[in-house]
Amino acid sequence: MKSTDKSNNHNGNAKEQELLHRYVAGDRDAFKEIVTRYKNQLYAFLRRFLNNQHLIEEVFQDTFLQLYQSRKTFEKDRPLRPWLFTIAANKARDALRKQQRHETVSIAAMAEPSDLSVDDVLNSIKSYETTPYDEAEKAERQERVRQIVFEMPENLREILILAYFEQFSYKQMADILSIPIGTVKSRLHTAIVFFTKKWKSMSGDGNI
Amino acid sequence: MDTLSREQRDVLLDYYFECAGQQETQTAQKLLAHNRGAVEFYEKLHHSLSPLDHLDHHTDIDCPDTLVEKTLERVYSHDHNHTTETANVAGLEKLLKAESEKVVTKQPSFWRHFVESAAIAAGVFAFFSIFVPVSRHLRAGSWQTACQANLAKISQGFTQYASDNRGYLPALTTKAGAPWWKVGSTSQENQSNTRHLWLLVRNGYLGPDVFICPGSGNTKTLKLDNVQIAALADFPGKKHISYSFKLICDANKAAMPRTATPLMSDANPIFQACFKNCDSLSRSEFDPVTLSEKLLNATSHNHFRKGQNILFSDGNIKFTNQRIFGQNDDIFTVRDTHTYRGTEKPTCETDVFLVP
Repeated sequence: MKSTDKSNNHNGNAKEQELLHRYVAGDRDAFKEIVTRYKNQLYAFLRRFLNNQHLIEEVFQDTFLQLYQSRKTFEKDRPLRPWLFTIAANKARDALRKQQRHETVSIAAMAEPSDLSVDDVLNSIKSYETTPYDEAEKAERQERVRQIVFEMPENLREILILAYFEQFSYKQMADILSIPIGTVKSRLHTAIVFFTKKWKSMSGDGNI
Repeated sequence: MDTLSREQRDVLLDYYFECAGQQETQTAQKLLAHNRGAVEFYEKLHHSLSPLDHLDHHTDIDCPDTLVEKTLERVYSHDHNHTTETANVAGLEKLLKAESEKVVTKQPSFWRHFVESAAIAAGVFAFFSIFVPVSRHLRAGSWQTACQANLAKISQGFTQYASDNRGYLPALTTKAGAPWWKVGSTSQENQSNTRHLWLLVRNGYLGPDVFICPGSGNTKTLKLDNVQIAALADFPGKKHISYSFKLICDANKAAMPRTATPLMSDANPIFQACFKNCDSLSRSEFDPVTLSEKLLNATSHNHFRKGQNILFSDGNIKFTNQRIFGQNDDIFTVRDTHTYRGTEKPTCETDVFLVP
């Protein structure tokens, strides 16, 4: 699992509150500091989710623009990060749908719940011991992962990225995606099954 | 591996994604410490999802500074535009407010002028459509009262005259078939029915003004001194008297009636048109008038054709649209006579005929 400095996010709560108050008041320096603080997280999320540099930059700018414009409706006592990712997720989905209309590619297809459980998929793996691999093999594996992730249905890719990389809680993901917590869990399980099946079938790591 | 329940797998999943609560985290840690199946499940889960880490190794994940600069530039630019727009809106509102406070001096458009004029006209029309009938009604009531006051004075004149003349009404002997309509003639031969009443004026019983009903139109108050009045044998013209009097042909039969008999009334409605069409006193007769249903039911023109005041010999005065009194006698016609030329006479003493 991608390990991010979740603890650091909590350490600066007091500082963030003060920053948010300044941001809500329209302080440009405060807003610039927010951009600096969250730019890499947001950029990473968009890169994982969109896989299109033009869309990434467009959504990145749109997200911060809306964050700035909606500062007066923002509740200062709430954490900013989920709010930022809510905006970003919505903008990213909109961007994908806009692109879909132009390219007529079914990017936004929604995945149906899988018949297989996480347990079934994991039990089908014959061996899970990792072995060292060289740079060429590493690059090949990276490309396969990217291919699987971007072939995932939008809703599964979205929740997998939010859970695995951004490490949002179920509650936060439910808020960001505007879905019930139960749906978050079932969708996440489906995303795990989807990725694992694809990965094993591509790498020949197991028989599913 | 040891068999895990569905709940245990869910706890391990939540723990893996760092979504577990405090209690779930403790449960997951216990499972991983004591349950080999749990460890295997956790390691397989990690093994399955860890390839996702390759996603970030493809290129540098950090956000380019240029993108940050572009973003901030766009935000500030948008903010500036918004501020400018807000200022423009504020300026516009200020201008509109100032404009609304200005005194409008421009010429109103034709249609506005037309609409305003039409509205005023409608208002005036509505006002007069209400005011005129009300006013007319009030005036009619006032005129009826004033008319009755005139007749009351005339009644007093009759009484005094009768008292001075052995109980006889003012009357002049006229030739049979003499025209009763020639008001204003001073000829000895031509004697109108108004000459009887002129006796009251000439002899000082009444002033000439009481013989004009205020409710009648086209009338004129007579302003003559006593010498001038004495020189006249009759009212100078029809416009100086707007009442009709009982036609008396024989002075010897002009005794004041003992029963309540109509003596005078507002002008007879049957012959009104004759005075308009016949302007020559040289004619002995006017164009024949044949009674019609309309003429038989007509009331005096003096009070908007609503009725007439009638003075009875007992001094009583009554405003009514009724014409029939006594023994089925129409006070405005001669009994059994349908065509009139202005020379008719009553058939008997009880046949009241008020003229002209």
